[in-house]
Amino acid sequence: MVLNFANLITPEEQRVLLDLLARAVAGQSGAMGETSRIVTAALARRTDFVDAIQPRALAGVRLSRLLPGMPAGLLADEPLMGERSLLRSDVAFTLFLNEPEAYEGGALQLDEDAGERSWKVPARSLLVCPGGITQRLSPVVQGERLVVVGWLQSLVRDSQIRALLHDLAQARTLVHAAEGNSRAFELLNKSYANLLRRHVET
Amino acid sequence: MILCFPEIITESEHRQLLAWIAETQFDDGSRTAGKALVGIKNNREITADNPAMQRITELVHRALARHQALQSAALPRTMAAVMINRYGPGMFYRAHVDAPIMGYPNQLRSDLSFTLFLAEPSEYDGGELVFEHVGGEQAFKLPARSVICYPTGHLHRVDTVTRGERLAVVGWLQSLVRDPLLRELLYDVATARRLVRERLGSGPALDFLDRAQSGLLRRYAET
Repeated sequence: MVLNFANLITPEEQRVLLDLLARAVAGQSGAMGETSRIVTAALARRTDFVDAIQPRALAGVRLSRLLPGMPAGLLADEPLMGERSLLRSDVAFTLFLNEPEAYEGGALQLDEDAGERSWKVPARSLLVCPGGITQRLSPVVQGERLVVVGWLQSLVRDSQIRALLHDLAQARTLVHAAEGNSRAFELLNKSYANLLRRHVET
Repeated sequence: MILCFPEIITESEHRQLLAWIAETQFDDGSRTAGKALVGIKNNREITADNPAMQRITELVHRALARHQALQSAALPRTMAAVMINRYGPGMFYRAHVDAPIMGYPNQLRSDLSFTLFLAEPSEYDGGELVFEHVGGEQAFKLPARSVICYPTGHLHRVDTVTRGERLAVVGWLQSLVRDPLLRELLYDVATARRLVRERLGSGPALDFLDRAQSGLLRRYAET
């Protein structure tokens, strides 16, 4: 399941990330630590993202600028990432840093259940998909495509279980809003906690 | 999760069962206990190989099948044979666990056991069904026509009857969901879904629960 979170970062964070991308392209070092810090903070404050993805740790980030003539095509996620400690890439994401009008081509094609679907989303949006699904990037023919790509390990490895947990969490929230601390709410709270306890890998 | 449901059979079904049982010969229960359990089991039984059990089994299985809460909690895949047992004064069944695999040649895994009480608690002293959990004991003595349903892996016993007669149907089933904790999870979600449907009606909460319930069943069911 592909999820799209609009306005993940503020315009100020967008400006800082564009600046970091420019520095990285210019060959300066040190941009990645700051990029990780900004992305991690933005993800953590987004509760609908946290509920759906159950992030445990950022496995890796990369600043990417795609220009006309650069190779595009199939993107393969490494299943395990990191140097000192390995992390799984349970979830892959793309954070868009410039508007779709700024480039031609450069669509991200994701192989979803219903077939391949092409994505080009506004700047500051985050596109999230399970790690390991087929991702294909069409070549940029004009302009430049600026993104942060990243991967993270989830507390729940299996995307189907994550989806089940998310359904239970959403039902729980709706039931609580409608009738407070009811029996249905208690049962959903218990079910959510026990399903999470069963599948969580800390 | 140990569940009790009252009035699983009607009064007329109860009378019918008692009449059928009254005209049938009981055997010594230790016959079916297996070598290791000789001496711990002292009761009388009518087992599945007795021709009288065919109509008794049909009646009991039909009663269980129409009980929605029990179906939702047990998620039966296959019902095993049932038997009748009777404990008179001095009879007992010491702590034991029922066999994990039953039946030949059609073997099934016994995930859940049930006892359908046929005698009222006032008709006998002693005879409690007692579970010996790691943390302590839990005793049950239910009204006639009630059923208790429990995971077959629980260590349990029937205390010595000191007066009267304890009469019950016992049976087993293989569930679509092997793991007791997952069955409980599915039962809780099913119950929450029923409550939401009754109280809030259709809407996004019910949609999420429909999807979660079928997703959980699809993941954990073994057909």
